[in-house]
Amino acid sequence: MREPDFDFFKNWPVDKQMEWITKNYSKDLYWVIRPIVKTHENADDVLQNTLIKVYRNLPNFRYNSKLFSWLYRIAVNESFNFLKKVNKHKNLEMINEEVISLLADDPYFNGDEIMIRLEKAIIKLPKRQQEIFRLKYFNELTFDQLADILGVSTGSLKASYHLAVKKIKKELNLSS
Amino acid sequence: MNEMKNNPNIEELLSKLKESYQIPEDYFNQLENKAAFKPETRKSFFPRFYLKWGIAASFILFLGLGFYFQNKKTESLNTENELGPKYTNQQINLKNKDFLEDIDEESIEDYIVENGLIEEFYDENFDN
Repeated sequence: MREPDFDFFKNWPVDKQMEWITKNYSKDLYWVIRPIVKTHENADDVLQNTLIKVYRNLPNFRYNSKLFSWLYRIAVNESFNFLKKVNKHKNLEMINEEVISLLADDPYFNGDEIMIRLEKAIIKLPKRQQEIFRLKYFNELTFDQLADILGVSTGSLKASYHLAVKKIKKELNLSS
Repeated sequence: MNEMKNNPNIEELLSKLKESYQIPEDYFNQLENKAAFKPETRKSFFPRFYLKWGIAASFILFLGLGFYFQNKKTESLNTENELGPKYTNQQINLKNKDFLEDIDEESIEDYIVENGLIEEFYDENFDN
């Protein structure tokens, strides 16, 4: 994942910084958001909200972490806030069901029944394992890159990932 | 898909999952041109942000002033209760003086007769 040279980046005007971020990270942020909010329409809304929040907070960014780690956190928070806002007074389980049902109606999703089952299995995982799964598969990151973004050791990420795979296989009755 | 069902592989399924999510053609190129990302639109979010905080601050100020004046009024009533009415003795004397200057002796006599104070008046003012 491309990171800007902070020595130059931090001296740029905010508009130029934003331009760089939009050009280089839009796709990655989209793939952070889409697996959480599921439909393209929602992902588009949340991506715009995320970039606006980034624009507002860029002057406060302290440059002591990777830029993408910071953007990633904003995108994840915005995605969950969006789901909570849309599904007021519903618990997490109800929100998850709602989100999956939206997916089936999304014109930009062409997965079959197995894909829906797989989504349901992923959504049942603990939050941390879901996060690792999403980043690994939708953002196509290596464990080292994941460790950088999430700030945890590669070993613990691998352990969480294998545990998650096991659970998904069990949920889908897949052979090992 | 049948093949996948017979010989399922989680990695393969997961890679297919991403393919199931589609994105409109040219979405990322158009994204930069969307209104939300244009500097002039982004700037227009700031007045809205300040407006929100401005309204909140005005409300707090309004409440604060309300409490301040309410307290001041209660304080003044308390002082009045403790120390008596607002008029000083000098002001009261002046008022009485004005009143006495306005009335003549006849009206005093009328008042005394009307109110049955005649005997009391004579007792006080004349020797029997």
